[in-house]
Amino acid sequence: MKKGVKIAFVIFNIIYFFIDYILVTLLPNPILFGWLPLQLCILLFLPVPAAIVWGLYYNAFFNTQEHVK
Amino acid sequence: MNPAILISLGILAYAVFIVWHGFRSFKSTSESSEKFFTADRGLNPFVLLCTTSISVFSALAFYGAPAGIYKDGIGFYSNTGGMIAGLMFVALGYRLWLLGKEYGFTTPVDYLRSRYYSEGYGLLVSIVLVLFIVPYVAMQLIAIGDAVVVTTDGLVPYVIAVAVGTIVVSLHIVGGGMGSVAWMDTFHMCLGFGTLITLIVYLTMHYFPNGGFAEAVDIMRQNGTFSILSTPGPNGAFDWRGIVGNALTGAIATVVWPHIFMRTFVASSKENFRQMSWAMPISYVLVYTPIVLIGAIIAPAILGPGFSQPDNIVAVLSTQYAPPFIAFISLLCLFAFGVSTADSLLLSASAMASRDIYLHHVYELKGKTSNPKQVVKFGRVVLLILMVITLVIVAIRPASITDYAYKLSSPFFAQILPATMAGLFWKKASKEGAIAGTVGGLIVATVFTFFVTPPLGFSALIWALVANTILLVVISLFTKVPEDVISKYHTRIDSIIYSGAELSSLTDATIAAVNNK
Repeated sequence: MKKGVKIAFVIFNIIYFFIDYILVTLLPNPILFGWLPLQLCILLFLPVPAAIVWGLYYNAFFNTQEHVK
Repeated sequence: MNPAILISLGILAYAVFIVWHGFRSFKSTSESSEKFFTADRGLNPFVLLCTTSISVFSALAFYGAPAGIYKDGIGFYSNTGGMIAGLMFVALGYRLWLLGKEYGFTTPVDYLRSRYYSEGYGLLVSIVLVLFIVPYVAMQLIAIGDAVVVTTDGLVPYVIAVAVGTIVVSLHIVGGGMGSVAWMDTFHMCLGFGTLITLIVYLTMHYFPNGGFAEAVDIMRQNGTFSILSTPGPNGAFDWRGIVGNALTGAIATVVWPHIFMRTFVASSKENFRQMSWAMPISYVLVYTPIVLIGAIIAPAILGPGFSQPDNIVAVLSTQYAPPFIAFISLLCLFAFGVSTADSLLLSASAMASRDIYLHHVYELKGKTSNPKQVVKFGRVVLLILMVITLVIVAIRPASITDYAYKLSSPFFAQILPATMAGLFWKKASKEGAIAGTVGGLIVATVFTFFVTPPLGFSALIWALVANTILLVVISLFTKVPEDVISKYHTRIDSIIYSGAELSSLTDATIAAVNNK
C-alpha cells in the first residue's frame, strides 16, 4: 500500500479517537429529532463511519495479500 | 399455570438444548486437540464475528452498562472505547493468525512463551490467566443465578440456578470444544440482539405510546433525570478525563483477553480479518445501542431519579414493569451474554491448563510425546475440575474471590498487551523486558487496586499498562534478542505479508514502464 494512504489512515484514527474520547465532552448538546442528544448521537453512531473507513482501508490492505492462502 | 413455573420450564428446555448441542460433536472432537481447541482453524467470517463479539459482551454488560449510565450518565458508554477492539483485532490478529498457521499456536501462552524464548515466562502467564479466569466466569454465573431467582419469584433457589448454569456451561464445552462454543455463540448473538429489541420495543410502546423516545425525554425533563443525557453526567464523573480513562480501561486490552486472543487463531482464512475490520464495530453498535437506550432514556423515564437499586434496573424493568413473557425474554438475553462469555473463558482456561501447563511441562519438556486423544481427554478433565471449582465459588460466594480476585481479572489480563504488541512489531523486544514489564504491571495493578488511589483519575489498569510498557522498552533496549527469534517472528512474517505486495508493485511498475516505452 502507498505510504500516503497509511499516513492518512493514521491521521483519520487520531482525529476519530480525539472526537470520540475528548471533543465529545466539550461540544454543545442540543436534542436531535426530539429525543437524541448530540453527545449521545456521537458516542453511539460515530463508530459507523469509522467502521466504513476501517473496512475500506483493510479491504485495500487485504487486496495486497492475495498470495496468503 | 403459574408464570414462574412456565419460566422455569423454559430455562430447563434451554439448558437441555445447550448440553445436547455440545455433545452432538463429542465423538469427532475426541480425535484431535486441533479440532477441540481451535475447531480445525476453520471458522467462517460470520461465525467468527458472532463468537468474538458476543464473547466480549458479558452478563455484566447487559446488567452493568444500563446501571452505569443510569447512575453516571451517557459518558459511561465510553467503556467501548469507540470500538477500538475491532481495529485492534485486525491489526494484531492478522499477524497472530499467520503465526498460528506457521507454528501451530493455539493459546496466548503458546505465542508468548515461544516469542520470548522463556519457559518461565510462559508458565507465569498461563498461571495468572487461568487463576483469574475463574472469578470472572463465577461472576457471570452469579449474575445469571441472581436473575433467575428474581424472574422466577424465588421458585428456583439461587443454589439450584447457579448449579444448573455452571454444569450446563461446562458440559457444553466438554462435549463440543471450540466448534460447539462458536456455533452456540452465534445462536446467542442472534438471541441476545433479538431479545434486546423485543424488550426495548415492548417498554417503549407500553410506557411511551404518544411519542416514543421523544415522550420519554420530555418526562426526563420534568422528573429531574435529564442530566443523564449529557456529559459529565449527574455526578460529574465523565468529563474528558473520565471518558479517556473509562475508554482505555474498558476497551484497549479487550483483544488480549485470553478467550478473544484465542479467536485470532481460529479464522479459516484472511477473509475473516477483512470482514472483521468493519463488521465487529458495527456489531458493537447494533448490540450496544438498545442497551444504552435502556439505561439513558427508558429506565430514567419509567423509574425516575434516585431509584434505590440502580444495579438492578434491567431486572426490575423486565420483572416488575413487564409481563412474564418479557421477563423470560430478558432472562434469555442475560443467558446469551453470560453463557457466551463464560464458555469461551472456560475453554481458554482449559486449553492453557492442559496444554500449556500440564502437557507442555510433563510431556514435551521431558521429551515424551502425547497423542491427540490424550490431549483432548486431559482438556476435558481440566474442564470438569474447573467446573467443580466454579461451582463451589458461585455457591458460597467468598468475598475474597467475588470482590478481590474479580477486581484484578481485567487489569491482570491486560498485562500481556505490551508484550503481545511488542513481540509482533518490535524486533528488540526481549525476554528480560517482557518478564520485567509483565511482573511490574501485575504489581502496579495490585497496588493501585487495593492500596493506593490511582493518580490523575486514571484507573489501576492504565497505570499498570504504562509501567509495564516503560519497563519492557527500557530493559529491552539493554538486552539482546537471539537472531533465530527475530528471523522466525519478524523476518519470516514480514516476508509473508510484504513479499506479495512488493512483487505486485514491482510487476505493476515493470508493466507500466514497458507500456510507457
